[in-house]
Amino acid sequence: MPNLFLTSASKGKRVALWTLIGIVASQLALSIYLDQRRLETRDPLYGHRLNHLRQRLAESPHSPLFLILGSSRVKYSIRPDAMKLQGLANSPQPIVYNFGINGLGTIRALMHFRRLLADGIQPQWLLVEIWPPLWAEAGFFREARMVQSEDDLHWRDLLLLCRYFRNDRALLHLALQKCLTPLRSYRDVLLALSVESLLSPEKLREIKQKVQDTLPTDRGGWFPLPWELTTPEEKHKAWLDGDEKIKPLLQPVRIDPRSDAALRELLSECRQHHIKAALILLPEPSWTRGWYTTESHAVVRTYLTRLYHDYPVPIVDARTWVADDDFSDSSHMATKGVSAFSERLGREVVQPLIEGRPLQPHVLFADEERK
Amino acid sequence: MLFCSISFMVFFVVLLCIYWALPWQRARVWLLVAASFYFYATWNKWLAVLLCISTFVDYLLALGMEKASTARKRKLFLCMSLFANLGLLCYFKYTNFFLLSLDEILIAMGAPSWFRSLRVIIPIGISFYTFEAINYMVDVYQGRIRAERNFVDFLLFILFFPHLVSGPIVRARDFLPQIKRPKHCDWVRLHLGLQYFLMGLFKKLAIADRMALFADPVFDHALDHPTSTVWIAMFAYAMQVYCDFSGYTDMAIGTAHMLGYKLAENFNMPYLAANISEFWNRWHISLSSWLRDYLFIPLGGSRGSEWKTRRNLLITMTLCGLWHGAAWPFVGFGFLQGWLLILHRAFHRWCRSRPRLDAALRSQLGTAFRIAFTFVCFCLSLVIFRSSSFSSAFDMYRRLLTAAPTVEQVLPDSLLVLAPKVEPPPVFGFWLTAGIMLAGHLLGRSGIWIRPALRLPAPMLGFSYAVLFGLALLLEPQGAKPFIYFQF
Repeated sequence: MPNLFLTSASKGKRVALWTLIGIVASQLALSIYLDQRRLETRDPLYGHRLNHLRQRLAESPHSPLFLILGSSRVKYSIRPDAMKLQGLANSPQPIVYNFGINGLGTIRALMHFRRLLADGIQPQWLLVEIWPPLWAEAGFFREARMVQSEDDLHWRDLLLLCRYFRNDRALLHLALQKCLTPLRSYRDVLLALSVESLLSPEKLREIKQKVQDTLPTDRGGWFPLPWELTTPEEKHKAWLDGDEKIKPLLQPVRIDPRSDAALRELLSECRQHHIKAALILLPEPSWTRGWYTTESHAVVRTYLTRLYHDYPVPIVDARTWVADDDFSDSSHMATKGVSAFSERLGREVVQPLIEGRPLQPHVLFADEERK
Repeated sequence: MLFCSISFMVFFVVLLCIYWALPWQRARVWLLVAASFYFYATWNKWLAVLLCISTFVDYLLALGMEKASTARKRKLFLCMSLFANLGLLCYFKYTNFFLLSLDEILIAMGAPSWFRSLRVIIPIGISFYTFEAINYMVDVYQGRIRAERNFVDFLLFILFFPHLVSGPIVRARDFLPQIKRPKHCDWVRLHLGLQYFLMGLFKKLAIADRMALFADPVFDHALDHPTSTVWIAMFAYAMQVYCDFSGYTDMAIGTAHMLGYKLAENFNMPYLAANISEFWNRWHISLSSWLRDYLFIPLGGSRGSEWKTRRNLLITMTLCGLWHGAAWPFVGFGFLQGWLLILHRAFHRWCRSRPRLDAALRSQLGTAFRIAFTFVCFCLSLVIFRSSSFSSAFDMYRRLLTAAPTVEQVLPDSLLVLAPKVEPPPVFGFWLTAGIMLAGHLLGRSGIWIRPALRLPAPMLGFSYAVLFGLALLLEPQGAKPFIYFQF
């Protein structure tokens, strides 16, 4: 029989009240502490990248920042350290940083851009990847799914999520739960920090691996592709995978209004913060380009023309810059092709943007208006 | 909706605020009925409707029984109710078990397979509310209580969500008068309820679910693990099953208190019992007393010869095992408990004629030995309870009692890669959790913490509850597991 005790009614009332205050205050305090002080514990994917970028900026505090934002295609394909950039006269060499994150579509790009601004990162230039399969907000690349599986949500993300995923109750429920009950949502990482031996070996390995996966090996934020496919069998399997996941999103290309709105909001915010923005279509192998139908091309062309009309930022078309042999699968470049591509990107896109020169016409997306 | 889930806590806080804000007692009863229906319907709304229908049938039968003019008619009403309640229980819970057992016997005799298992969803808590309905009908039949006139009150007796899915099994004579009693928001009871709830939450999340990390991988593949790990897994399961069920009960009692109802205690530190008979008086008290009152005593109890008593014990405990689940290991567990009770009775008689041994066993050291012995015996019998089949229980016993080589030592590495072993966490966590449980038992038994706790100012007491809540959340392994007794 549990040995419990009774108190007077007035004390009981005060105890209940203080319990409630204690529970709410402790969760809130932990949530704020994790957001402000231990971001890498709460959200290793974003926190470690941010710390790395901050370290990089601290090395040369006066250097302006050229930030590249995009999906895993950016993360594994653009190596800033391979760009042979020349500094401007009388100003420090800019820092080019690859902030690619797996599955980052336009809504998540906006979310991460806002997080960076809120964390005091103020880039002078921003190059954002655009990729038609990510515009549909459907299928494998659906951002609501990516947010759930990849991101750990912060308080400041809530308003944005409420606007863009207002019909996705499961996602909003998860976001609220993570923010309101951090002790429960992040108990494994908290235990890993304090009493490792209370975790199962698998869980501990999983947490350590996750941290390992989020630490860039390169000063510029580039990651080598972890799944280099070399044999014809592996490549064929990757082709089949692309056929299943990417092709349906290109036949036809669909532009979800939320994806469009997020991209426009991102560009508006760049304008508001005086950040020089540019968009880029990254290289695709010929077979992926072959999945676009005539109608798909037309949709992409019309959309980008309209976008350029509303936000006159350079749209770089690098879709044919890399040979098929330098691809590992239907969307990711193999490591061997990265240096050459990055060097060209630095020379033909990043350097002119830094210098404020117009880009060469062959680099730009050939829209109707400019023709 | 699990008691330890955030969704339940939100549900309960909202309900509690509305409940005490209502000025009318009848409106509160209606609100509780609606909330309980919603609580059950979150699992399956059709089964919630079925539960209401079966309750309505019992309600009518009890009224009919009371109005019946002859004893024969009364008996007829009772039989109809028993048939309906046990029929539903057997259909949902035992049909597949009996069909598949019969099929296995036929196959063993060389006949082809005849039966297919039925696609039946077992309603959660069916064993609990069936027993509640039966105790009501029997009590009305025996004239201990009057049949309830108000259907809503009777519905609340069965549906009341704190005890609906995993007990404690409430008696109509205890609960129905509470519904009629006027209630007012009492902070003393709210505080008491909060203590119960937090203690239950801690037991469930920080002890039971954590102990499952040590028990589950070993019980699933006993032969993969060395003897010491298997012993730890066995003790871990004993602590898991106790803290899981008593934690649930504490949360049920706590929520009921906060709503102004009192449910019966279900556990009284059973692992401090000095013999198996005392153990069953401390473990799942509401079931043990139900079985005693409605099965053991009607069978003749211990009134007849020693052989009849033994027979009654064996029947009662075997059915107790079957009540836990429709599988042969549960039957085996119950049967074994019956034999342990019989052996204890025999040993007790034998000791009476040996006063020196009896005195030695009653000394402090002897009592400590008896407690340890009873605990180990029960833990060993739990191996059958936890195992999915007798053969896996046998594997566990083999591993417990012999230091045979593990699969790792026998199989080549190439084969081990195909079936990677799930490892339990480092043993430090087991000792830490076991230490917390032992300390809780000792403190609870001595009660020495109560005086200092009473002296604590309200903010400090409140914050210590918040810390307990926080620790429960922190120490809970990923994702709360469903309560073990939900399946029963």
